Amino acid sequence: MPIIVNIDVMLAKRKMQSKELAEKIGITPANLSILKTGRAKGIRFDTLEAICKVLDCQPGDILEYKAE
Amino acid sequence: MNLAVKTVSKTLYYTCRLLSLGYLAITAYAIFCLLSGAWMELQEGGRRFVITWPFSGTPFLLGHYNLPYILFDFLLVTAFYGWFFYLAGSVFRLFYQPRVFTENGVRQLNRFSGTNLFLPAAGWLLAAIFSSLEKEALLLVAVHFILGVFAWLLAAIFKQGVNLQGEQDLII
Repeated sequence: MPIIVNIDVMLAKRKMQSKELAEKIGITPANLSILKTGRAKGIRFDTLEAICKVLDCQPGDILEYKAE
Repeated sequence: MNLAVKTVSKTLYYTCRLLSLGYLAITAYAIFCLLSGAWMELQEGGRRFVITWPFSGTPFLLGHYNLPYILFDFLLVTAFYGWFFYLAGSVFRLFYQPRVFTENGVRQLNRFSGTNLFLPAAGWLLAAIFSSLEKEALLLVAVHFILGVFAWLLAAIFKQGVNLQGEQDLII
């Protein structure tokens, strides 16, 4: 998929673990893993909002378009 | 699912399980009586049998006393309805589960569909070859066939539902 999810990069920048992020945004670690590995079919605006809020970033920091 | 659907499906599930148990118990009781001769008597010079309620002389099951009739017009029918109501109950149970569209649901519907499409027709064919049939039997075969087609279509909808559910689960 040409949409890349860069949550790992932002997590590293904020020195935060996936488990902590999952807890703070209210999704399961399994679902966060689906999101991080690019297996998700989509992302809800409220999930995106929660991630941006917790990681203090913009949606563009998390999502990236790379042509295949 | 809303409360009305859950209530109706739960009621139908328990009713079907009860009917299934009843039919299977009748089948088992009839086999026991026919094999052992207990609570059974022959009438019309051994042409007809009467199975009575246990420990009473009240007639319960009546039929022709010959093997093809007993097998294909009597035991096969009661056993089939025992199985039919068991499967119907399993289908109704799907509608009050927290998740309606599941692989198990598709499996149950396919089983119910296959049973209705093929078993009555096969039973009718066997009975037609080895025994005599009443006209209503063919009507019943047709009703079961139509029910089987509906269940088959419902299984296809459930399959689509499972796929959509899977995709929905991947929207985080």
